[in-house]
Amino acid sequence: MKKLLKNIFVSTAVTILLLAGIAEVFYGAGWLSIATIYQLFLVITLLHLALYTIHAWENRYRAVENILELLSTMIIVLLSGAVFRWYVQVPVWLVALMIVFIYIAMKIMDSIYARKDSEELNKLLSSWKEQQNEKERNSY
Amino acid sequence: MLIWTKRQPGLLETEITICHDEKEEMVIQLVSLLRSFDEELICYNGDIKTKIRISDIYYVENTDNKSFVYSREDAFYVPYKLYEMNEILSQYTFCQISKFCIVNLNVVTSIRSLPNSRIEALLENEERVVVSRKYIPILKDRLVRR
Repeated sequence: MKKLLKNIFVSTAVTILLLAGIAEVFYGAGWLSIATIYQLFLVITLLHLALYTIHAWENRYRAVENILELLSTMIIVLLSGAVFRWYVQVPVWLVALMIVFIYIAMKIMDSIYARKDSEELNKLLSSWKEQQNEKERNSY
Repeated sequence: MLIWTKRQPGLLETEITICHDEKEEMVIQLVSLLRSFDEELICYNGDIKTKIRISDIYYVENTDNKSFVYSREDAFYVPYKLYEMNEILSQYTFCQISKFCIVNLNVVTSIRSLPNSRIEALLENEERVVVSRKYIPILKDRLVRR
């Protein structure tokens, strides 16, 4: 399910990006080439890079990691908003609020995946232990 | 159980033969225990050099760039980097579960997730070690590989 959802979202994103670019370059369909799409593409890339760096660094304390995740997301999105002049139409506090809501939703999804992972690991662990005992029995 | 010992000069290696009727749990444990005598690791308890059986190691942790080996109740310093410990221990029942920790899978009783989306491994001595998300695929692979 996770993979299916991911594939749907990735395909949609790639299609929108390509469609916007191709429509503008080859057919002059400027109405399809919305600048916000490219701005979002850049912001999301930066966000992924920041999160990748934080996770690769792997802090011992989960709280520190969470604060860094939220802080880097805030900084990247709010600065991008200032650069791309998003605040002409949307107030800053609304953007900040959206970030917090999306972050909380992501964390909830994260904990669901963590529960699934732990269930799978427990199954693998018990069958691994059975296998180890079997090996020990047969080895003498 | 009858125990016989026999001195045999010139023997290159100690030989042990266990004579039994059927496969018993006790014999399995005995063989396992005898095997583990051959596999030891030199470590330090303060300035005192000592040896710890590999099978007695619960987990290895890296703190301030120093590696410490934890048994059921004690902790010892080992003069190796964590990646070196991983190279030594990966041939046994150990697996690296985070940037800082290598655990003996034999002493892991269960794995559970916490509300903050962290995953923890519970050990036989009631201690808990964190499994980082980056190492979950490695752990899964290790458990499938047997």
